[in-house]
Amino acid sequence: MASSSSSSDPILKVDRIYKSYASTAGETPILKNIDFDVKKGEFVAIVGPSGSGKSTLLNILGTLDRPTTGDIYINGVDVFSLNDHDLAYLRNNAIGFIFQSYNLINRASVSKNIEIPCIISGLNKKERLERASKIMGLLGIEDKGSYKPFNLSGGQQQRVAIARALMNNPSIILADEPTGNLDTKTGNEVFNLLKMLSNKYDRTIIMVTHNSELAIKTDRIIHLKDGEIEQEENILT
Amino acid sequence: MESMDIKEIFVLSFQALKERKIRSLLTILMVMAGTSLLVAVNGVGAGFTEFFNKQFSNLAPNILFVTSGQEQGSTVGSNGGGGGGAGGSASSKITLNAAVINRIESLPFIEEVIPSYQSQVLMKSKGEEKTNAALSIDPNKLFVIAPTLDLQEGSQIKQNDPSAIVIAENIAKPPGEDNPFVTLGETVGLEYSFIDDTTGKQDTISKNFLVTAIMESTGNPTIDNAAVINLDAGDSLFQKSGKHDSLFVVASSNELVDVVESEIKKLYGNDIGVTTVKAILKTIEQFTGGITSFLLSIAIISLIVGAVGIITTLYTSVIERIREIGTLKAIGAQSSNILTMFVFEALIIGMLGATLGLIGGVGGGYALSQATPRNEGDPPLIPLFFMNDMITVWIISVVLSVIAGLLPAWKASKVSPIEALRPKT
Repeated sequence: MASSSSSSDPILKVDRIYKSYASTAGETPILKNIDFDVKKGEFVAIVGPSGSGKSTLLNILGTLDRPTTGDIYINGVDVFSLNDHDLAYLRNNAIGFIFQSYNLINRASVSKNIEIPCIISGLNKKERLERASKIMGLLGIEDKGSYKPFNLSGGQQQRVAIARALMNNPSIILADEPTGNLDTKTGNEVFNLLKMLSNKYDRTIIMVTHNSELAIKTDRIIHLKDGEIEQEENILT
Repeated sequence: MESMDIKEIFVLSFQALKERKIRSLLTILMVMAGTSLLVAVNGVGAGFTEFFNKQFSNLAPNILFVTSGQEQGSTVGSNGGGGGGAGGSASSKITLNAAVINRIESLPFIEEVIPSYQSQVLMKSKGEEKTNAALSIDPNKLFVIAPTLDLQEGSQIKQNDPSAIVIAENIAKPPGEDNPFVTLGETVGLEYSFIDDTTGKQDTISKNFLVTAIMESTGNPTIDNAAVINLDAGDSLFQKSGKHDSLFVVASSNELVDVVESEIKKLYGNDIGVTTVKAILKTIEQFTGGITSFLLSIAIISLIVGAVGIITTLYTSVIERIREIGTLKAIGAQSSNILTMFVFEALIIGMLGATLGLIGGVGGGYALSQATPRNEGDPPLIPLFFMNDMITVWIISVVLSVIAGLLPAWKASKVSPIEALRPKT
């Protein structure tokens, strides 16, 4: 997978994405002419009312869904020119996912959950344990490695999910309502962790959220309405 | 591009089964039941074959049994008539008299023809009475019919002594009884009952005999359950008038038995019955083989039921773990990784079920053979388990399990992550 990006190129380029679904009533457009770039280290919030197309956009950014027309470039690679096998490889190595309901595997330990992306990529055990241990320390869950996810609080489980998303050092992290299942205090803690990853470790994060108080603390807000970008708002810090 | 750690997939699969313990255990039991049945039936079948081979290995393989084809005697019945003329019903059958013996003896590759009478008699000893088979034959020829025959200490075979009787060990000391029924040197009475052809009434003839020998068990059922008397004594006691019940035809070698059989058949066609040890063994093997095949087909059906159990269990598991599958795909798992994970689950179920099935099958085989009815005094029926058969059954069970796992595994691998991760409404 050759990359032609230079340091000034956007890490993510969304080029005129259009997505529609065929239904009995005819073609229903979900996303229309979505066009934006995300630079390395940027923390972008995508906000909008229900049905505005946020989740569909996130699925397309995460290469889980293909657009009807338009392209997406991650590190300069036209991702939808890849076949399903290479797309899975790209998701494993270039994209980190954080889900609203954490999506951890309850039968596996916290440590094993965090290791999964590296298990998929075939990294050797020693290296992946070292990496997991470092990330767990960074996120303050270093003592939870042997726990089962269901024994942890919601906030701790989301930290495990964040740790999992960081394991393969992805180019972008996609977070779908990461604080949606948490109380305000815990939600703020989790958000602050993401903010810290962006500020301190130069991580590129795209977060879908309903929470405008959190959105305003990111670098940029993309407002979606009826499948279109209604407004892009740069936050001055 | 490195590939996913197979060991870790295996661990995840194993953990998935552990997470649903009861369901996994029941599925393993289903596979185990099929495997056990296969192993047990195979083992008992092989044990049966071995049992009969052993039983018949003591029979001289160069002997042919020739009968007139008529029904052989009951205590009271048509054998009073002896020959083919009895009641006129078997008039087309050959009467095994001296002329027939001479004719058969004149055929090529025949060493000798040993005539015999057989009947049921009431044996009286020390005030006790028991019904036994009586074989009337030249006692010296017993060693030809049963080459492995041994006599108990003090026994003596008296040639041409019409008052001597040679008793099988089973009759002398019936298995399971503390006291012997007959002892060496004792005089026993034989009572033969028959229907008199002229009066139509039941009549009996009795005669006393001196027990001169007791035969050790030979494995030849004709001898092992018989009281043997001289040919003349049998002729007079059973009212045979020289019409023999059966002839033991001794071929000059084992290889010539088939030739001799066809020669006799050529001479008398279907009016005479010719049986060889080989034919008896073949018939028994066909019979036990038929039963074994029937039971094996049940075992295979039960194994297929186990496979259907795997399909059901894994398919349910796929539906329950749809979110996990979606998450794994979202974070980069290939469809082949998901397929492998579920195939491994089927493999683990198959391996555990098959392995437990082998153990259960060996135990079941012994239990089945214990439960098989057999005559007292018969050697025990021991099931035989061959390593090759066991490995084959194990492989069949495991392969069938994996094949059963392929459908749900394929379904799992085709799960769309968007569908799987869509919030439940």
